[in-house]
Amino acid sequence: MQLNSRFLVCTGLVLAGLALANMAASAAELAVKASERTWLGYIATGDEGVDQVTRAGLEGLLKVLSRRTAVDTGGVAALDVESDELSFFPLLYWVVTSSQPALSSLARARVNSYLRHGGTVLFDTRDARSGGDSAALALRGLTEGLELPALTPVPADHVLTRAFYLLKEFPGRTRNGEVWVEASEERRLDGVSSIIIGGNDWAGAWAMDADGRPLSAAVPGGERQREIAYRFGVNVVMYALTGNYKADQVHVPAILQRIGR
Amino acid sequence: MSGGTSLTFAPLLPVLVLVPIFGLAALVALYGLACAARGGWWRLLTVAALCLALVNPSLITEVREPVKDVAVVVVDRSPSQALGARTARTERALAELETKLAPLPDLETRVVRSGGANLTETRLFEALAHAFADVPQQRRAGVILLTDGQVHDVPLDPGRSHDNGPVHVLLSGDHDEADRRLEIVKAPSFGLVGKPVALTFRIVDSPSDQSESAEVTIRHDDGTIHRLTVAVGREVSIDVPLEHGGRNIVELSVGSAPHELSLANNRVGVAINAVRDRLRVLLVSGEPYAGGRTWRNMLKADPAVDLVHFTILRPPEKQDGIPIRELSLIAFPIRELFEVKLAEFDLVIFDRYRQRGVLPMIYLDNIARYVRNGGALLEAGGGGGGFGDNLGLRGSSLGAVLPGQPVGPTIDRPFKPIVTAIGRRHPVTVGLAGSGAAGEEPSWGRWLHQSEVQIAHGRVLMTGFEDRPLLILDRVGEGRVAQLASDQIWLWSRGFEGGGPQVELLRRLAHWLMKEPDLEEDDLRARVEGNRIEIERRSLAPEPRSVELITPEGEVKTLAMADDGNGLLGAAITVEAPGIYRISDGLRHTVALVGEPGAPELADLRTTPERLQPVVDGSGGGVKWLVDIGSVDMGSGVMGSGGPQTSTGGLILRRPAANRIQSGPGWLGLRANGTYTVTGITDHPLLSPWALLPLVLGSMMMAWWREGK
Repeated sequence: MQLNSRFLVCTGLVLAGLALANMAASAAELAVKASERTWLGYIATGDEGVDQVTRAGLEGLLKVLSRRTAVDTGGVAALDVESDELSFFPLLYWVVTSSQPALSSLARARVNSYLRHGGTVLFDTRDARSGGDSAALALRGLTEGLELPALTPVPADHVLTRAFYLLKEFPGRTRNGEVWVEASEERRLDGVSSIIIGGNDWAGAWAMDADGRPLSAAVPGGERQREIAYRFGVNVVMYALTGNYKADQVHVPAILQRIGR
Repeated sequence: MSGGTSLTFAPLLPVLVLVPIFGLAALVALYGLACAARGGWWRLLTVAALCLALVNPSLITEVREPVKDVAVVVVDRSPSQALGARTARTERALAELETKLAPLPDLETRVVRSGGANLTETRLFEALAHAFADVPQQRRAGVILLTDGQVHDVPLDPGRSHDNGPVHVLLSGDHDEADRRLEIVKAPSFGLVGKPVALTFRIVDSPSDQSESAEVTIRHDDGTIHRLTVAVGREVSIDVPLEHGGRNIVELSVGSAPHELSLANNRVGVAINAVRDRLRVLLVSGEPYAGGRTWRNMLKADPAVDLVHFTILRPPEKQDGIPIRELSLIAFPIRELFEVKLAEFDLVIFDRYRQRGVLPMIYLDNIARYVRNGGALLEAGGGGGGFGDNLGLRGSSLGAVLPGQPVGPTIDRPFKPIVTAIGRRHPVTVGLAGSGAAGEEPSWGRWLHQSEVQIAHGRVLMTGFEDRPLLILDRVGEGRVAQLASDQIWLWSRGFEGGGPQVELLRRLAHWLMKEPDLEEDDLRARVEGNRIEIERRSLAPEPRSVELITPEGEVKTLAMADDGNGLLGAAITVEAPGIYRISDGLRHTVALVGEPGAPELADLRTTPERLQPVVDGSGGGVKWLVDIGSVDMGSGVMGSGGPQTSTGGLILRRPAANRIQSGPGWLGLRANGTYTVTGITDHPLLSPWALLPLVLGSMMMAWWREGK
């Protein structure tokens, strides 16, 4: 009996050690992979159903990016803000659920550092599903202690409306919510907003199954709305990757003309 | 020691008390006299004696000590005093003055030398003010200026200089001197690279034109020389091209005239700082990826940069049938960028660019030609499969221009970029924050991918995985090329493992490519602070070779250079004359300009009394030419009237009283102020009370006796 339990403990330790080594190896592997191609990350909420839809959504978006743009797509990674390296990911998709615990001070520092170093977070409150007020409350609880700038609804001339596709609205699976970005874009990071907040459940619209069939219906606009949702996804990724590149291009003809003289 | 005696009264009672009492007493006595009362005279005598006693007269004797007057001799040591026999004459006169004035018991002579550090103008009155600072005006005996008369701080109000006593001038040069000089009338201190600036000068002969025209030589700092003949005395304007950023030096010199005091002012150097109008940078990103914004953040934060950025958002083969009006894509103006306007860019950056058939070969040829003709190319992050799968620029005609050749697939292993030994001396990578000491592991974050390249030419400033070349710089033809064999620098900007100095590194890299003079790795430069020349040589190899300095007079000096270990060797020297100093280390040459071009000191070199005349006249001083003076003597009548001269050709110094004339033919006066300090007082009361007592009592008795008769 005694022998048995010692054996069990030993086996447990060995297994735990293997698991740790395995985790470390996979973290290094992910680092190498995620720094080579463009990977999309999402913050795991702990809610299995929500996380599955988010992963499927980002995978769907990656397929669209790969099919339609020059982005060299990698994969999708589920991330734990408390422990995972965030800096490889230009864009973090962060679903806000009421069940998520508040961030630890370590996680807050990590997210703040991520935002300061040019990372972009897309918060999806999925208001339509859970009701506006409780979503806003959950968002406030989640972002408590983050260095969030003042926000404004996306202006009509914002780069998000023309980073790749020309867009007038930003629907997801639903389309009744306003989308918010940084009000004053500081010049330090090329004036790129580090925060995008909306509640249209974009991942829900992007999600598709293995055969490429959509997982849920986009309401009320149907497939056209889903197409626009993909275009928004493409624009958000382009915005995170190229910043205000498209805003500058307005000036390029003038610069070229001046240069020619 | 001398004495002064005076009579003073020290009344025992206030005057206000004494006057009414003795007034009344005198009135009574006088009334008695008027009435011819007996004893009237005796009463008057009593009153007078009492009055005398109370008024208390005494004799005061002061013990006085005479105070020495102070005379200041200001010696002009400015560069113009070095001409001809001026220094010799000045020194001889100074020696004579010192020997003659030193023995005088009532005069302290202070000698101050002015010049040396200030090479642009002569400021004798500043030196004078310092020398007299602690001397009250009533002790100042006068001033003797030993100078060529070219003084540039003569007080505008000559009356105020009177406080110093007479200001005398002993001129060091010859009568009727003549000189030719080149004078800069107008020179801009700033200009734009590539745009010529106008420089105006004229040839000035003084006192009058010595010839109709003169030949002027214009030498640019790249060694090109132009000659032109210009009319003397007429303003001439020339266009000066500014070939490079930073300090451009143009040297103008005019040939010698028949009569010359100095050739130093026949040559003038003008430094014009050239700045680039706007730095035009063309950034071509091969695809949207996480690193794109690192370049944008760096280039957009630089206010001097005009950025033209193109990112290939959608390669030609990916068409999804979405109408063009719903897309925000514009066509890549390839022909305009890579054919029509390519030469206008100061720097072309290819970032993670892959040859996806976007750029036809002919344009890559254009870029190679652009680089050879003086352009700049930065190729970064062709990695990520770029080199290995032959999609990079490598396969193109740019191959001969880029320093690294691709070998093998991308290395997907973490590594810390290391600054090489050469990189530690190169201005692009020297002292980067986090690079650590030589042999130490840098504190910055790791990178995770690298392309393996083999170096055909160029210099490796940083290495990556297992010492493989990472950052390579090269010069091709007239142009410059840099290659970064990894696209991972964005990990530093994203703060991975603490990040790194990506902004500083990329900024320096870009500016080195655009030929920013401060980032030259192989350069000889001279910086001038006042009359100190600091010579710097940047060099990738620690070479202790000394430099040669050629002074404006043609004298050659050898200076040893000290290495600081960071690629910088330095030497410094303090010089005495303004002008153009040539510096050479055998391979490179540079020029240092000491003093301002056209500074007063080198403008008019002739000896003249004119500038100082108002001060001399205002103070009652005199002007003498040393060349006319045989010797200096002290006049016999020290306190005399300044009478007739004794010797001809000699200069006599006198000490006339302060209210007398202080100069005349053949003599100069240093006024004798006769000031003293009082060291003691003796007080002798004239009337003793014991002597007065019998007088008062006696006269009272007599008055009483006379009355009683």
